[in-house]
Amino acid sequence: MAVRSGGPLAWLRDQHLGVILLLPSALTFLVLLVFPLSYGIYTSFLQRHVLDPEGVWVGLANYVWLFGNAEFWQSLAISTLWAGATVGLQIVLGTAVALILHQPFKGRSLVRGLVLFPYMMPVVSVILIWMLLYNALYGVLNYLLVQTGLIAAPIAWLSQPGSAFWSVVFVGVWKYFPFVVVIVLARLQVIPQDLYEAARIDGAGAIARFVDITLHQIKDVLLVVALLRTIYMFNNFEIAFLLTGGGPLRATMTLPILVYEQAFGLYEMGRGSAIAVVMFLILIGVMSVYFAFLRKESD
Amino acid sequence: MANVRIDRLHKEFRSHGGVVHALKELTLDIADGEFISLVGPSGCGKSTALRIIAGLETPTSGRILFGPRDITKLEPRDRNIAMVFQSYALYPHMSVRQNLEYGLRKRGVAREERDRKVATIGAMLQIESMFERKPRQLSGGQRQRVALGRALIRDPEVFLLDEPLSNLDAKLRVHMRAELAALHQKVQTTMVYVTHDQLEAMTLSDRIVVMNHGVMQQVGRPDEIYSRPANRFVAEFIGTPSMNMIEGELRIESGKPIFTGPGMAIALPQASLHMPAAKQATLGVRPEDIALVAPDTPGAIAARVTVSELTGAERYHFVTVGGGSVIIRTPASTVLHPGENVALGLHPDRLHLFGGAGEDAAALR
Amino acid sequence: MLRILRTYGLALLLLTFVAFPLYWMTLTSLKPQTEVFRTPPTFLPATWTLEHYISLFQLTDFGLLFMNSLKVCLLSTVMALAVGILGAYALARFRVRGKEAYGRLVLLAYMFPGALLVIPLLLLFRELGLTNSHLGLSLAYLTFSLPFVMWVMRDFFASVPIDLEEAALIDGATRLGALWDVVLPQAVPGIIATGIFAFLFAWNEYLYALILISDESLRTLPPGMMRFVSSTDTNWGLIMAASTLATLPMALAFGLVQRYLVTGMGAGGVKG
Repeated sequence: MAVRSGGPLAWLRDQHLGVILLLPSALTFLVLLVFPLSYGIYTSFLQRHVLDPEGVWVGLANYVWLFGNAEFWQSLAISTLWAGATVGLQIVLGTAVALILHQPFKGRSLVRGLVLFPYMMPVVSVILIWMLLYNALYGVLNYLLVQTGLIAAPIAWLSQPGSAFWSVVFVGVWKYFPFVVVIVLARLQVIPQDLYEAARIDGAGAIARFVDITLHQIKDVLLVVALLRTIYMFNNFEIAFLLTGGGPLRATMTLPILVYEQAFGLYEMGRGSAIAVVMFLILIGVMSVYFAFLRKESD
Repeated sequence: MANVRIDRLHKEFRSHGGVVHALKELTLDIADGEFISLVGPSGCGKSTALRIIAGLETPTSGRILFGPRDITKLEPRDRNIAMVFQSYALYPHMSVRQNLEYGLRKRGVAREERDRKVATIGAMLQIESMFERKPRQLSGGQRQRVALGRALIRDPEVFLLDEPLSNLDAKLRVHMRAELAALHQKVQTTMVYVTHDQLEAMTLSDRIVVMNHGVMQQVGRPDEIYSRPANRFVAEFIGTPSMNMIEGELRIESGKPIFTGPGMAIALPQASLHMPAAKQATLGVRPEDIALVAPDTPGAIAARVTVSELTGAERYHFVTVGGGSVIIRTPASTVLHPGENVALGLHPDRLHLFGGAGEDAAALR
Repeated sequence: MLRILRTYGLALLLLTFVAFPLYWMTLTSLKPQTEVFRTPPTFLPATWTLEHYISLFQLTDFGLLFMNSLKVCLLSTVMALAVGILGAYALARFRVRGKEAYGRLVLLAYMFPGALLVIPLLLLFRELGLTNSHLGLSLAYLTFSLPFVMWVMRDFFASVPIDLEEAALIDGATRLGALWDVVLPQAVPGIIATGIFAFLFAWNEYLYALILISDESLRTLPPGMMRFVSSTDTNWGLIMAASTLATLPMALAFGLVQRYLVTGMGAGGVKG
């Protein structure tokens, strides 16, 4: 058989082709992520109105303002509590649901599918549903709670500082817990069945089997999921912003909403950027924990 | 068709903080139409060598020539080779026919020519009835045939096979081994065969290359490799059960070489021996070269049976000699009981003596 | 027996928790306006009506919002797949210096706070004339969909046996030929699933859509729908009809991607 010489791409060695294939994505990242990120950090050293084409260099003034500002510290505390509460509840609820859905029962695959709906739905649809459910005047939640005698009178869930925060947390948990279910369920399905059989032969009871096998097997996955969700929830803007706008009395004013308020409410691009940079630094801390964990895993 | 010349082929991999020498200065001439096997334990460099011949890896240094043509820097598609993979690597989304003709299409072979070749190969390998099936609908043996067919159809200059039988069950493997031998008889193409199974290498090959740690240990006809291993590694790797290795000392007593090991002193035939510099030596003897003898035979070695295994036609007896363990292979009719005391005699012409104790210890001849 | 009853009981409880809000959404969208505000509320409509769905298209710009969203999300998904698949393939298959670091950077990119990017993106896009532009918004969506596609598709490509490509190379294909003939056909289900996820993430996004588009005629669904909520006279039947329809693409996609949910979500857990 005749040997054909290489085609027009014959000069390509592996290395070259690899670089060429990576180029479009690298360029995209450069233009849409690296450059904006640097520009954002740069902006955090400026005083700049949204319509101001240049801005004035003010050095660390935005950060000085930030750290001396009680509202920032309040929002940091709220954000931390928000992330902690939503992630903690998601993990507990998600794991419990995964354990239920791991049991065989009729219609299980239907329920498994349905459970994912909140996660996949548009945030805005979720928000609108819960606004209606929470409604103080004709919300069905109040109706049911009053009827069953759990509360004496309807509650304005989203407009009282005490109840607003936890009402928002509840929606956050409702929307995002299915993610935990999927991951934990996937992990449960690969636990070797003979571990349980061995434990049974060794005389372990149901509780011992759960703690020593199930929990032990899924704990690594739970840790990773917790870290990832913490990053996500800490960044989450929509849930609280759309339900309460950060109120009442700043009770749900998380850091992303504070960024929004400074940048797009007061048009203080510099201050908004400074808050965002601080958030980013906090997340880098969380991420390094994640990577350290991954490294430990792979060893 | 071509002879293959591998010239000081060297391959290094960089891995976590170090350099791994996967292949060290391999030089080998493969005759046109020869069936040659590369055999060795995993990580010995045999697969690396094959993949460099295929063009799937680039060597750090060295050259490969097909006939007069230096192909070291060519892409796989320009080498006119074919390869059968351990996993068969049949394209899952293509039918058997499409799998067979993919290489021909890529070379711009016309439709009629392709159909003709597919028909010929199909008849040769008896896979015509499954042309329209997808690989996942085939049994292991059928996939194996299709993989062979896909390689054969292009009339390659060199045929590369990477452990092609190792995914088959034991019975089918023996059958396909025979078919492969017959196939080579028929097509007479140069074949380079990589395997970790020394039995496949022994039965199929014109010559065997034994490799370890990236270094060629010995190259030769199967019978040479078996009866005259070049060093202790080859001696132990080839043959099942492995050759017995007894460590001891070599010295001259009244002009005759004597090997003394635990529980034995053996006079060696003088002619073939070069005396090593050190006195330390290893005596190798294959399990079938040890005979049970009468206890009063001169030079008999006293041993005690620990376990006997029946494998079917044969028995393996594990005995202790002076604290060390030795395996003996006998016909099934020889029955020994654990705890029994026996006397052993070694076949004087089939002893292997290695200078020193390590894997590299060379045969003394 | 007790165990089985307990399982069913818990499953039913779970079903109520998840499905009741969804049920209430659909139900409200099918009730006449007067019945929506009735106390006690009706758990099955006394009168069924499609009036909200009809007025959604006749009285509001829902149709326009929907089409705008569709356009932006399709555009950004196609871009993310085209660029991401090439990059993911290179990450999975080639020995390129700094590949591991790049892979890690992709994951990092994936975790960038939207709040951090939205300010510089607005300032930059205004310079480039990309605000009030569907192209601009699709590009902004690449900031999360591209890392997502690369991260998921890399695993997908890595799971295609490398032997197949090597066999194709030996059979006479070029590297790109092997990618096209052998690898992509294996990865089609993965590409579809990943594309659907990338689409849904964009479909559900709110902040960029709010900030980067202010022109009413270009607005997309999420910010557009929030305008339906007014402080005084909120037509909940209409809003629930909009919510139901906005959920529709997800419900349609659902049947298609269910098999690949775990892969998609594994990466989607960070953003999404």
